[in-house]
Amino acid sequence: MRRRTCSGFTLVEASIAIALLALVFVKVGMLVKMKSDTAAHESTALVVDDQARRVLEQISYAVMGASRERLIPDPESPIYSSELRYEVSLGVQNGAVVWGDAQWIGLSAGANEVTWRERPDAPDERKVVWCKVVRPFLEGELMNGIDDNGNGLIDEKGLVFTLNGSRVTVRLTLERKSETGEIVTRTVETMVTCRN
Amino acid sequence: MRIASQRSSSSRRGAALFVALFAAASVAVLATCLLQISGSVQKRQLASADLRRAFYLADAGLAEAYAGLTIGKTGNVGSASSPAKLGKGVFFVQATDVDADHVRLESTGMAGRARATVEMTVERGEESVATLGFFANQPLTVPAGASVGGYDSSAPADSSKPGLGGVGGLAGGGAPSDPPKGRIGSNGDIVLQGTARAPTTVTADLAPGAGHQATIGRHVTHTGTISPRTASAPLPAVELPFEPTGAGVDHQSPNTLVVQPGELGIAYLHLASGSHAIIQGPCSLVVDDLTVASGATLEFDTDDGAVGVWVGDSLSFADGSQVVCSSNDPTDVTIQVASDSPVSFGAAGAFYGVLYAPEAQATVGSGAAVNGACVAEQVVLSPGAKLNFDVHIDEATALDVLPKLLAWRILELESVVNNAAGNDPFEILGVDPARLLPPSKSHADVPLHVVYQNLAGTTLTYDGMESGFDWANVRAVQTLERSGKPVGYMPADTTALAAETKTGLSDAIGVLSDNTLTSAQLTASLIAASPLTSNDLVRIVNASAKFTSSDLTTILMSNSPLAANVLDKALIASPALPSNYMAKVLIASSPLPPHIVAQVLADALTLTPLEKANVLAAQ
Repeated sequence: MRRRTCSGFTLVEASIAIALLALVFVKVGMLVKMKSDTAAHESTALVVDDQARRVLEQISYAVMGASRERLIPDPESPIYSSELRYEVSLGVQNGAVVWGDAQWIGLSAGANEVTWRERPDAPDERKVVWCKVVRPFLEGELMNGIDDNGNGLIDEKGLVFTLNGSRVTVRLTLERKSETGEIVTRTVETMVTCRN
Repeated sequence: MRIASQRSSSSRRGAALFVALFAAASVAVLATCLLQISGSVQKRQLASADLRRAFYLADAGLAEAYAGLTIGKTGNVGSASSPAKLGKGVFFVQATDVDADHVRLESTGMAGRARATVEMTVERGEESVATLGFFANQPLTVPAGASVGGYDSSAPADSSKPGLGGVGGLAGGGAPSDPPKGRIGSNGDIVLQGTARAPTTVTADLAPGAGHQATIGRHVTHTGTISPRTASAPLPAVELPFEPTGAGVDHQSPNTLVVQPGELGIAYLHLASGSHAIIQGPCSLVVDDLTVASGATLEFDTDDGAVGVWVGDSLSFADGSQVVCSSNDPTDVTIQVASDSPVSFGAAGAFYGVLYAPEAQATVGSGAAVNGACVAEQVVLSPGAKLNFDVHIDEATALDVLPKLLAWRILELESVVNNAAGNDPFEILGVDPARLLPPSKSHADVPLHVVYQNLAGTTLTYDGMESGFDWANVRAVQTLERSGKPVGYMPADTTALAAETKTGLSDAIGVLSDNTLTSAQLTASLIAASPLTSNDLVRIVNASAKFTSSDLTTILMSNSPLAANVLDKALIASPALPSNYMAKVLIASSPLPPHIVAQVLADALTLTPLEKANVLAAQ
């Protein structure tokens, strides 16, 4: 009896056990991969979302202190642009407003970087890249000469300024590949009023 | 074999455990990573939200300070040691005089651990001197045969011309029974003269100087009020906007001389008899001497813009000269004289404009009609002169009173301030939120002079610090000065004024906005601040949800007897108190007003028979 008890599995039993074990391994592997993919996607989405909001906020605070008369393109023009040149007030001296150096926000480096420049094109220009994952076109837009995303703009780039008097609407789409190769896209929008 | 069998069994158990551990560890590692990322993102987002809140608080501070400036306050609101509380954040504003005309407001807002500072520079608003009407720094006399009235250039065309269909040819856009009134003022006395042969008609409000009086002689028909000024009206000196560097123009030809729109500075402009000149707006003309001879015509064409004339030395429109204006809006033409050389204005025709000569004597000729305003050191009116004040000037220049925004900028945006000091602005600044005041009560205190009508209709005067004045007792304001300066911007009615000053609620009531205080704490604070005003008590009863019935009763009893409006509008109209407490309050406020006794008798209140008997017994 003891001998029979310790005799082990038959070939069929062993095969079934191995198969079941393999199934369990595969399932666990799949589960882990799925979790890993989801986590990677979620973390990328969180990072992109956070980055989009931070960049939009930086742009808002910059444009807010600008003078509407000193915006380029001209605020009264019914156009949109992927760059904005502006000047901010430094205060008042002898009854006159003192303006700072020209500043510039726009796309550069193959249109996927949001860049802030002070004294643009001058020899002592200062430049800061705020973000490097701008989508070539705003979410839902294609390069086809029509307004694909229904926002009234045609073939607009991933960063776009729309001017209406002293109000500036900023739209930004960021796009990034997660570790799994999945594309994560986030679009944010805000409207800022120039205070000066 | 036994050993082999045991090894085999052990190996199988280990494999299952390994698989389970591997799976659990993988999931745990992934979850931890995700949590860390999510946590750091959330932390950043919270900081960002706090920063945005702080920014909006700072902006709200600027708005509060600006509102203060419009009504004569300093612009200082709170301080770092005692900021204004708004929601879960605070702000304080520091106002700095850059020069006589400019004020810099620096507002700091704090929320959570974030702090934002924004700066705004404004130009102080000025009340236009044109609103003074016909005003002289010296005593002013309206001689026999002159007429003074008013009109409204914004009224429909037929009635907006002075001289149409009104009393003494002066009424304007209003109904015949209520013509617009002119305005005569002086920093000295005002005398209206008339004779039987040359009666004088004055449809105007008279404002003699402080301590001076208006005298109305015989044969004078005066319609309007007489109200002495409470303080002298300052007449600011005229500054030329640019130097008149160009050569003079002596125009003698019958051809029309046209002064084109733009800026022109010349030494003189002389128009000889029979000549004609047109000044086309928009134009700024600076000239040392402007002379229009008898028989010459000077025309102001303001169809495309206003005309401003600055005279550095002398101005003379000779008797028999002619002036023509294309618009009946006096704000379109302004003539300012910087010197103290006498000004004569004898041009026939209707001049629609503002004549300002703060250092000179201005003589208005007998054939002249000035429609708009004339303000000078001394105003001399010839018999037959006609003065019509445009009441629309008040409206047209109303915005000048408001401070003008010149520059705005962000000074500081800091997500995390002073990490170790605390997690909210109260901890960081070391202040007790319960003791902080709302923004409207945090303005720096200023000396206040107010002549007002109280709720009983009695006219009273208050001189002292504003914190000691109870706006809740004001029905109407007649004169309002802060820091010795008249408040140029006045709300349209006292309702707005009351709203602006938060209906005079006392500082003690501020604790109601603190949701962290318990009923007992609120009660202790309010009893300490008693006696409270009726408005405070109404607010307290309206906020009855914050108190227990016994605490609310204690507060009301401490402030008994209660005014009828507290009993009427709040206590009886709301289910704030159960009947036994209400009976106590009613007894403490006895004898009750008759209409409340009537309600008790009619069982309109939910009192038990015993409580009702007790209340009635107390009457």
